[in-house]
Amino acid sequence: MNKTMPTAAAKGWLVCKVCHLLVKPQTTLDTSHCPRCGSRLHSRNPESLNRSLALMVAAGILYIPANILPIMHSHTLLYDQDDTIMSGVLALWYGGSWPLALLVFIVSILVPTLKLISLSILVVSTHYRWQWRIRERTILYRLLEFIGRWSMLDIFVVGLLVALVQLRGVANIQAEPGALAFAAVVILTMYSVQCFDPRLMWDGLENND
Amino acid sequence: MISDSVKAKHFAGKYHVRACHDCDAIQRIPRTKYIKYRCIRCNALLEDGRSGNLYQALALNLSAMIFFILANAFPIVAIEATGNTVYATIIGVVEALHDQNMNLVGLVVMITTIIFPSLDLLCTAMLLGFTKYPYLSAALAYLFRLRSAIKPWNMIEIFVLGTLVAIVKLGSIASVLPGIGLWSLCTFIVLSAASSQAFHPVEFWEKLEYE
Repeated sequence: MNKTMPTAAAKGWLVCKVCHLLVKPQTTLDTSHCPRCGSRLHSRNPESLNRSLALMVAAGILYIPANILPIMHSHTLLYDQDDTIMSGVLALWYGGSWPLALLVFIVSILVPTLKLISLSILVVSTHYRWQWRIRERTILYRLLEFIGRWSMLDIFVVGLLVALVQLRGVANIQAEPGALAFAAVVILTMYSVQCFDPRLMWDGLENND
Repeated sequence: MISDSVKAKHFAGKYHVRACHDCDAIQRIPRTKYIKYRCIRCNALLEDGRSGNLYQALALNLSAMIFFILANAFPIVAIEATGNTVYATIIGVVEALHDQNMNLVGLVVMITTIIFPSLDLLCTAMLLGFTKYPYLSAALAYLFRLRSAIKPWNMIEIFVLGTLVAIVKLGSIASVLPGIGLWSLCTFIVLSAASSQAFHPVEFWEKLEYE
């Protein structure tokens, strides 16, 4: 259902990203800023695909240490153990709480992986102006925008464990560099999704008619 | 469910023109705050059907503020093992990460769970409280921009979920006690969600322009 419809860009109108005001250059002299909330106006996000791609590549590189390096180290009288993100999920699974293990698996393994894959699909398909399922791809973009922040869950868990398990001599937990890489992946992918402009997908539709 | 014809009759002449923020399609949508309205082309939520008014939003926001202070002042969780009791506050998490030379991770936690939520609360309070002073409108517009820029990075509700996971993880090795901070945090999240549900931006801008 890829309908061609009159768009703001075709009429030379601008939409404010922040307050959603429709700005018509015919009625305002200064079209560089929104007359209502003062934010900068752009017909499309500036350098959308380049920025999105650059941030995504950076996230993709950090994705490797984030998953391989340990995110925390537990030291007790009985054992010393390094935990990666995956082993944390497994510990939770065998620890008896499978719904929570599933949740952590989804937000900290499935979501970052699928996010990198679907973001690259979005960027590539938009760059080559594919007309294929634009509506569904827009919905995918909105899903990424909504779900991305929940990956931060693991960072908070590590932080809380580090703060709590400080039993002198008996047990303590250290945060390890994997946590930093993982936090960076989450932040970079979130920012990458913010830079991506879904309206560019729909632009391909209009220009071909 | 209100039928489309009834809707059309009720909102005759009460439409405004919007361009979808996700697909740029121009469309007329009803000028109301109670009904959800989606983009006919890409299904984006153009109008998210809020209830309540700005006064309710302010009241809820101020009470959320009280609970946010409590959530920061009291421990979130405590564990008890081998005769020791250790408790953690939100800022305690940041400190613990700082002590282990994980400054950047600590900074991320501090920004997403303390600085941005409090900025969000303050911005919202000022936006709602100072609407009737026309000489402040430029400052309020700035606060509105600030508020929407920090919104995706305010991760306090994810922190609560993280607390739940941490409690379950520690349950097998120690006895874990949820603290006042955790209950305040849950209350805070409910209240601030209710507050933003009542804060309708269109209503806010109209009020700002008429005053």
